[in-house]
Amino acid sequence: MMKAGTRLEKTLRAGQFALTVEVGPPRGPNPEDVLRKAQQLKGVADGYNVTDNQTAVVRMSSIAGARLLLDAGCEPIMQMTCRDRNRIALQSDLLGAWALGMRNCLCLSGDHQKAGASGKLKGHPGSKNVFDVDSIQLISILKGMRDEGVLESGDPISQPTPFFIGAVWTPLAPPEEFRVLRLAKKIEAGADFIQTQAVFDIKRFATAVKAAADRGLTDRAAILVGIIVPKSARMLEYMNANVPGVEVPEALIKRMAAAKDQRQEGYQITVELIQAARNIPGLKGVHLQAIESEEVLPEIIRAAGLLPRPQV
Amino acid sequence: MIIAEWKPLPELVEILKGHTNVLVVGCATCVAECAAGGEREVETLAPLLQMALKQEGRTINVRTSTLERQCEWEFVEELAKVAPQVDAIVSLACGIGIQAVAERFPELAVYPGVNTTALAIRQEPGTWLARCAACGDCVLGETFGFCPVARCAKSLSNGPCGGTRKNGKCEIDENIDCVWYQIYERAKARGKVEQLLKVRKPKNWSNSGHGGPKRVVREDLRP
Amino acid sequence: MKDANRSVTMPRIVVVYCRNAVSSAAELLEGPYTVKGLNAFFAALPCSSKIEPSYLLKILADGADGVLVVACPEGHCRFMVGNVRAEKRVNYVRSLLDKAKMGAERLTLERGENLTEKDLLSLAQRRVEPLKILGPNPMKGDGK
Ligand code: SF4
Ligand code: SF4
Repeated sequence: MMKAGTRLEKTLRAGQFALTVEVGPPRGPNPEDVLRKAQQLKGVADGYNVTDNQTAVVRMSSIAGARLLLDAGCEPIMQMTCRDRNRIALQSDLLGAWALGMRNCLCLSGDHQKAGASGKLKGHPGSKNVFDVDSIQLISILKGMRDEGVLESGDPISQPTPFFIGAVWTPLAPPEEFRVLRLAKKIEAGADFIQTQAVFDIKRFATAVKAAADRGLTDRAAILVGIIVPKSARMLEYMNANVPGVEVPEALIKRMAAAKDQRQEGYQITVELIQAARNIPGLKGVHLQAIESEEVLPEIIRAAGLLPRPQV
Repeated sequence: MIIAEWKPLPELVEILKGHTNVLVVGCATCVAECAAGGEREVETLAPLLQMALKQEGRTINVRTSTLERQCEWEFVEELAKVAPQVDAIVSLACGIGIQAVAERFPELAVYPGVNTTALAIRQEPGTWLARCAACGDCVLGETFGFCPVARCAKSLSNGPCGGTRKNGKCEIDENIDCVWYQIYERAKARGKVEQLLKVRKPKNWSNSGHGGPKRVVREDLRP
Repeated sequence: MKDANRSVTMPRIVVVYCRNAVSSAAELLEGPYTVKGLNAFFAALPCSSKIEPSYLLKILADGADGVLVVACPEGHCRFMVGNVRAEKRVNYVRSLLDKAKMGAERLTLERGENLTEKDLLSLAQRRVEPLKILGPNPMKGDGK
C-alpha cells in the first residue's frame, strides 16, 4: 500500500534505482533563486531535498523553498530538523507543509548552532537551541500523524498527514558498529527511506550496507547512497579531515590532485561512484549533492546513465 | 556542584561606577570548588576591582566576606552587620546565593560577580565539565551512567548524531567526549548493547524549569 | 597619558623571593631597602608556590609600583612543582592586571639559584627602568 504516493515512493516501489538531488534554499527572500535551480534540475531527479537551515545558517525556510519547487514541477523532499522547533512547532509546521502539498519529509536532528559561524559568516552561535525531540522521535511523530492521525500527545488531528518519511544514516562515523543499530532504530521508528552521509569509500560503505541487509533493514526501508560531487583535491582532503563520518580513500585524493582539470575529474569520479554503488546489493538509489553548483548535476546524471527518469 | 565563572571585569567596573562602599561576598561551597567564588577568589577580585575602578578615576572601599553557604538563610544572616555599611554587594556565589543575598537585603544593590553556567564536576585540576541539566526526568539508569541531556550538545535521546569524530569527540568541541560514544562503549563493555536499541519516546520536560519554576513541597517538613 | 614629571620618581618595588633560591651563606634580605636608585621591600617565602594571586594583587592595590617574584630554576624546586605553579599564578595575575588596565608588567618573575644579596638587589634594580616607563601606580596614596 502506498504511504504518501510521492514520485520517490512510486519509483522505489516500481523497483527502479531512485535518484534524489539537493537544493539549498537561498540566503535571502528571492523566489527566483529557487526557481532558477528548479529550471536547471527539472526532470532529472525523483525528489529534490530542500535543506532546513543547514549548518545552522539562516536561509529561506525549507517549507517555503519546497513549495516553490513544487510549483515549478520538482517534487520536494522537505527537510526538517529538531534544532529550532519544539514538538508543538514541528507538528504545526508538518500540518502546514502537508496543506501546501509536501509529501516527502526527511527528519534530522540538525547541525548545532555553533556550526553557523564559519568563514565570513557570523551565524548565530549565541542562539538557544531546542532539541525537544531528536530525529528518531520526530520520525515516530510523523508516523503517528500518518498512520494513526494523532499528535505526539495522542490528541487526534482532523485527518492524517500521509508523509513519505525519510531519515539520514552516517554509516562510517564512530562508533561504527553502533551505526547500523541506530539505522535500525530509525527504521523501527518509521523511516521509509534513508539518505546517507556522503560516501567516497564504496568498499567500506558496501560492508555497512551488508550489515544492514543482514538485519533485514534493506528490505524495510530504501537506502539511497549520498554522493557529493568533489570539486578539488583540497575539498576532498578537507572533508576527509573535518567532516565526521566522511572517509575519502587516499588514492582518490591523489587521483584528484594529479588531474589536469580537477572539476572534470570530479564529475568523472561522481559517475564512477554512482556506477559502483549500483552494484551494491540492497542499495535502492543515490542522493546527489553539488554544493552551491547544482547546475552541473544534469550532465553528471546523464553520464551515469540515469536519464531519463522512469515514468511512474 | 554548581559551577560559575567571573563576569568580564569591564562589566563589573561598569556596574560599580556609581558606588563607593562595596562588599564582595563569596561562598565556600560549590563556587569555591570551581575556583570562582571562594575566599581566594573574593580576596583576588576585591583588590582587582579597586585597581580597575581607579583607572576610571573612582576610588572605592571594598570589604570582603565569604560565607559557608550563600544559599542558606542562616549563613546569609551573617552579613546583617556589615550590610548597613555598604551601598552595593557583589556576590560571587551561584545565582541561588546571589538571590538569597538580594532577598535578604532588599535595600541594597546586589550584583552578580559571576555567570552561573552548569552543574558539573572537576574532571582534573583546573578543568570542570557539565554533568547534569536538572531535566527532571533522569535517564541515567538507561544510559549507563552518562547523561545525554547535559553532555550531548543536542541532548539526543536515541544515540549519537552523525557528527562523532574519529577520536570519539563531539563534533562541536574537540575537547569534549561525544557522550553517546561513551554510552555505547560502556554498553558494549557491559554486554548490554541491546539496551540501546529501544526507541526512546520524547522526554517529559515538565518536571524541570520547562514546567514553570520548580517547586517541591514536603508536607512532613513544613512548619 | 604618562606624566613626565611623575615618571621620574623612584618606583617602589616589592620583591618576594623563595628562600631556596638564595645561597645558604647569604644574609636574608628582609624589609625595606632604600639606597640611591632603589626603593625596594624584600620578603622571603619558604617556597615560591606560596604566592597567592590575592596576595600579589593586594601589594599592588596598596600602592607598590611593581612586584618581583624570584623563584628557583625550573626543575629545581625543593617541593617538586612549586615554582612551575608559581609561574602559572604569576601569568594568571598578569592577565588580570591587563584586564584591570594596570599593565601586566607590574608583576614579573625571575628565576635563579644560589643568589647572593647582591644578586637579589640587582634583580630588583633591573625592574626600576621598566616601572618608570609604566609610570606610578595610580593606587598610590590610597593605601591604609
Ligand atoms: S538525565 Fe536529567 S536529571 Fe539525569 S543527569 Fe541528565 S539532566 Fe540530570
Ligand atoms: S557528536 Fe555526540 S555529543 Fe556531540 S552532538 Fe553528536 S551525539 Fe551529541
